[in-house]
Amino acid sequence: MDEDCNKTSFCIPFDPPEIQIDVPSSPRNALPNSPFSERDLHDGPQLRFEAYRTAWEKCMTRITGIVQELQRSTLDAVVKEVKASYMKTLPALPHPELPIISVVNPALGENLMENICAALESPSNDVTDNEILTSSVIHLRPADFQTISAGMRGIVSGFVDKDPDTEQIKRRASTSLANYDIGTLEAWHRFRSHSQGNIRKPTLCVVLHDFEQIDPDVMQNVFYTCSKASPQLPLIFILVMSSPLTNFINLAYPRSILCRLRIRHFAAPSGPTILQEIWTKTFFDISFDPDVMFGPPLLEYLQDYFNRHNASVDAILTILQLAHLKHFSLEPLRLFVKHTPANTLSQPSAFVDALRVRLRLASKTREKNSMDVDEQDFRAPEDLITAVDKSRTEFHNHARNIRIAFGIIERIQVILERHGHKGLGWSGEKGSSSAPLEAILDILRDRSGRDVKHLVKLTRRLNAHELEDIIDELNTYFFNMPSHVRVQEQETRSHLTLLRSQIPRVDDEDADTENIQALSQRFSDWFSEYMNIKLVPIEEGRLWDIWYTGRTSVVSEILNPSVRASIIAGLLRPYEFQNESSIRSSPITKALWQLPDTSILFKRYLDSSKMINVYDWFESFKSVLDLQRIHLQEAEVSTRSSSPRKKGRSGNRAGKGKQKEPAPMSEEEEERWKTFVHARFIRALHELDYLGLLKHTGRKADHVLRTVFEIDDDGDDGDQLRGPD
Amino acid sequence: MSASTTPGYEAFSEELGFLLSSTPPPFIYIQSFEALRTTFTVVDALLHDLSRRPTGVDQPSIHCATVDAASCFTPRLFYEGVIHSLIDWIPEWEDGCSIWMPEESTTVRWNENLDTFVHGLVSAQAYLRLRLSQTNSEKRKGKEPDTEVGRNQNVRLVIVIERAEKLKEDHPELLVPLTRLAELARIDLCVIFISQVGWEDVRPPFGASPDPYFVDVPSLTKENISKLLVTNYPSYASPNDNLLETPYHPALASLYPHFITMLCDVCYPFTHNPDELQYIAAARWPGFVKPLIDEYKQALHERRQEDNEVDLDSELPQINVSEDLRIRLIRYFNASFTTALETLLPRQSNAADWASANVPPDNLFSMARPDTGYQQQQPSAQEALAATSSQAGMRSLPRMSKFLLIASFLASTNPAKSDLRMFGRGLDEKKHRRRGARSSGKTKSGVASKIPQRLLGPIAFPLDRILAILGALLEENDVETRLVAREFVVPGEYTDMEIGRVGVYAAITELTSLGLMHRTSPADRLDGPPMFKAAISYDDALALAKELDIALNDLLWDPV
Repeated sequence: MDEDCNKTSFCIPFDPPEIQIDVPSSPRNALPNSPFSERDLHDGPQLRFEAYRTAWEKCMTRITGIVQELQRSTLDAVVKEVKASYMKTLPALPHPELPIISVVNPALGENLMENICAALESPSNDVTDNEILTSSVIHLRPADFQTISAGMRGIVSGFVDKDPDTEQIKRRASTSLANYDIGTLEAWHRFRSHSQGNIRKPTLCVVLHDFEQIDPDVMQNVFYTCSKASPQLPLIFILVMSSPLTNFINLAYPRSILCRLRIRHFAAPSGPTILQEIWTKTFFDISFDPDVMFGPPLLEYLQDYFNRHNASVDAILTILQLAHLKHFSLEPLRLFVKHTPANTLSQPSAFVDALRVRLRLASKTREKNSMDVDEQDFRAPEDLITAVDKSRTEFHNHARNIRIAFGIIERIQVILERHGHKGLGWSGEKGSSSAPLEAILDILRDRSGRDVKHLVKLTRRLNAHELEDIIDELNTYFFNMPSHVRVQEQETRSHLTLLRSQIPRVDDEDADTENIQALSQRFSDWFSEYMNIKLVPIEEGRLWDIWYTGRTSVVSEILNPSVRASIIAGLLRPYEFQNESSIRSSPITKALWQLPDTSILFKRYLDSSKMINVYDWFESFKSVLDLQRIHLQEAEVSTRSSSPRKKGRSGNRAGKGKQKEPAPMSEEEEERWKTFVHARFIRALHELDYLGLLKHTGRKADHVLRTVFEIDDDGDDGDQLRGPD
Repeated sequence: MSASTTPGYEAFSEELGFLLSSTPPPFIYIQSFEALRTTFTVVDALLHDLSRRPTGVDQPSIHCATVDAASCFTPRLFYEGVIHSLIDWIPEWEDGCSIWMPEESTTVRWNENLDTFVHGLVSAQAYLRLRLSQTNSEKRKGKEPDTEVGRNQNVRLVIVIERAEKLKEDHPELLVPLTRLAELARIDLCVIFISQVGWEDVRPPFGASPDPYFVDVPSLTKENISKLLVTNYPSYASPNDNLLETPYHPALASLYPHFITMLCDVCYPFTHNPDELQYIAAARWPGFVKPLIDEYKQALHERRQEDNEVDLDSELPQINVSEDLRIRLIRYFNASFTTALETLLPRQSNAADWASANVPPDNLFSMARPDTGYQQQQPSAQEALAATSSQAGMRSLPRMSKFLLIASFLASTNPAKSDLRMFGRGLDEKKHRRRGARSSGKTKSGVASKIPQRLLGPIAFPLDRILAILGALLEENDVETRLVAREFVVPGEYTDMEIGRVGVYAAITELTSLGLMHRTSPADRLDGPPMFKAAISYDDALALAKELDIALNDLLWDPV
């Protein structure tokens, strides 16, 4: 570099210093340290990881079950269609059509296709007609369709290689058909149907994953070639699409190809109903007790993300998993979610003390409210275990009560709608499909009073039919509850049965309307009272925050970060990205000269006007670097001297007053320093350019255009120049 | 059907048949503009007839090969297709899918390049000649052997290349040699190109190919198409088949010509392609005859009830298609032809689905006023149509994607310089100063009126422009639906955060792969922002805007 300063560019090979990165040997099966690590157990992260895994697996199994239930109708329809593809064709068509089945599956994930393929490949039970029963299924992805030959080779060899019965016949590349020739597949199929007799001719299913990504130019040729062989070769294409656009193939392919295809569309359930279904059946279903309940912010965020960006089950699963992880990472006490390991409480520790304090506080509050609870001091570990176990049972009962209440509200609303009432307005022009979720949000926020009041008012004026239907529905609901819950609701059930028996026969014309009104009134009173008992905020329970996330905010920035904001934040406060711990009480303040070059340049960039003169920019950059050099020199000196503190202060003061000139340099040194600064400037400039923060317009010589304006940066550069005290 | 009897093709078949059987030109170009597939069928049938006619010394034996240029995506497939088709060779799996090999040499690979292909053609001709002489000698068994005749028997090869225009795209290097194949192989050979486009669009440059002998297929008249479709009435059903299960029962054949005439009356102005008309006919016919079949079923039922022991075979009720009945049918179904055309011609649905969605109600004729019945069914057809229309698809996109689509439409329609005026919000909340609406048609004489960008097609825009417009749209129309975020205090900060999210960039990529936006800059270019173009229509944008409550027309520089 020194030899020739006139060179326009230098090659600086990347030569990373041999840094021994000291990775803390954290075991894989552990969560990150809690921010309250001072009152955590030494194996807390591991224990909480175990608890997290149990809770999440339970939750995920439940969701997978719900998703499979949602998939069922689509799965059956597609399988039926594939099996019937070559059976019922319309007669007198001008030419045979190639069956195409497009499965639009924006929400339910890859799993749907796996299930469909499994169903297709299993031999059908329907052996009554000796037609096509099984299918041979191959999977191809966009990467297989780079060219037509590659695509056709994928299809031909996919089937031929898959077949275990076909004896491998030696083929010489030169004297046999090409391996991308559909003739090979035809010969194989002839051989196969001949050898197996005419009874079972499997259809040949080609599943094209991510169909939107496949180049239409290539794919239309593949379709054309396959359609020419179609009736003899029972090929079926299943197009798997993940975008909600149902008519993609009509948009992307020309009519000349569409003419040769018989396209049937199948759309898997999608949209807000999926979220509603999953949420209500996982967290608000009486037959399932999730280990952890989530508060309104998560549901709100999920709803927003689902509608705005990505309406898929995968998104729900990811967000819920992250929420689980976060829940277990924060509070050390949360290892008690499922069990109370006795050994954790046997030894006195900060953890045990913290738990004791919490329990004492809770019992004090209770004592204030009701006089019947004795104050315990929770000295013995057994007392602690019992208290935690009791709190857990209390929490689950509490959550179950809320679920029962929601179930009853939901059922009454359904019956009211069936009888033509608006009820809570869940359906209708204003009521969106997310109305039940809104009701859940209200319940969780303890704002359900309005809904309950409205229903109380409505149920007061029911006629005999409606009352009968509602009570019948509620009886069925109670009857279908798991037995341990049903036992607890015995009293309610008998009350409802009594009410039901008092309703006069419906076909009795001169039924006493007053009597009905009185019954309605009684039902309505019961409903009001019951809801008062059941709808108690979860936050009122002892140690509730172990099982309930409450109003903790969601870390949306991790899931869907804003790229630009992150880049700018990184440039403005590079040191904040260095530390592991995400929770910090005060921001790290650093002087401008202490920042990396790119950050220095960026701060100067923010001070400029719309167009930046590069020379001025360089000058300002250089002045900061000069200052940096002084500071570094001083630091060097101070490390050598005995009292670094004093020196540091004096250095700062000097910086504050007049800018201290760097120690006189020789001309050669000066030249070197200049080149050095120049190189650093160019490098930082290119980094900013690469990040998209500069625009070269060419309108004005030596000027570039800013692309970022009006950053809300509370730190004042002028102050920071002086450096920290 | 014989080639010479295809309506509208009589002169064509005669000319081509005469040429091929006498002294064919080495290269024939057939252009069929409207009925390409019918032409294929006619040529195929003609060649089939020619190859089966008796041969003699002056009558060469004709062997033909037909290949589809569109499905031969490599030259090797083309070579193998031609030669296998010439000698009727079908590769078998048991033989390792081996290709045909001339007997004299097992080392020459004729599928490698054009040179070996020409050799392969010569070998194939020799093979065919030998096969012919063997067949002839077998025929003459007992008579005096005349091997001379067989050996010198002329074998003429005819190679038909369908969709020849694809050759120019896929294998331009093959085009010139193919047009000169007879010269190259020095055998009796004729190459026929059949294509929808004219020779002038296929012709290789610099006059490298000789001009072909042109045969143009005349466009089919309505009468000819009707005749053609009527002759295509499927003959798979026999009179003994159960009428209830076969809509193409011979008993119903008398109604078919009337049906086809009506179909052609309605649809001929829109398409002259017999295939398309046949497609619509196939979709409509089962529904069209359903009232008759229902009536027949009822008659059968009554007959059975009257006499349980009646012999079903001998006393089947007859179907009488009276004039009155025909008129009633035609009046009832007339409107449905247009619906069928609108749905099936752009293939928004397929024939089978359309047919099952448009089945007439049971026992139509016993209804009070059947003539008005068709109108009631139309909604279902409309629904099917709506399900596949572009707007229905877009409705299910995520909210941010909808905003992006509208932003892309605005960016592609408004000039970039107008953005600040259209989307900028001054302190005084002034209304957008849009270009003054000009009265249409009145322009200064001599000055061409400026055509709105909407009609000229979308202009490309950089990524940062669509993000900026998205920000403006979100700030104006999306603030209420957002989650509450207390950390954002500066006006517009929240929006700024929203437009920079990963989800937004992902949505842009997804919309591009869906074909709702086009990327105009190459994907591997790192320099400068990526450029895009909107790919949605004004109507689609308007529908989306309505859904999101955006006043689209206020944001257009050149409002409609």
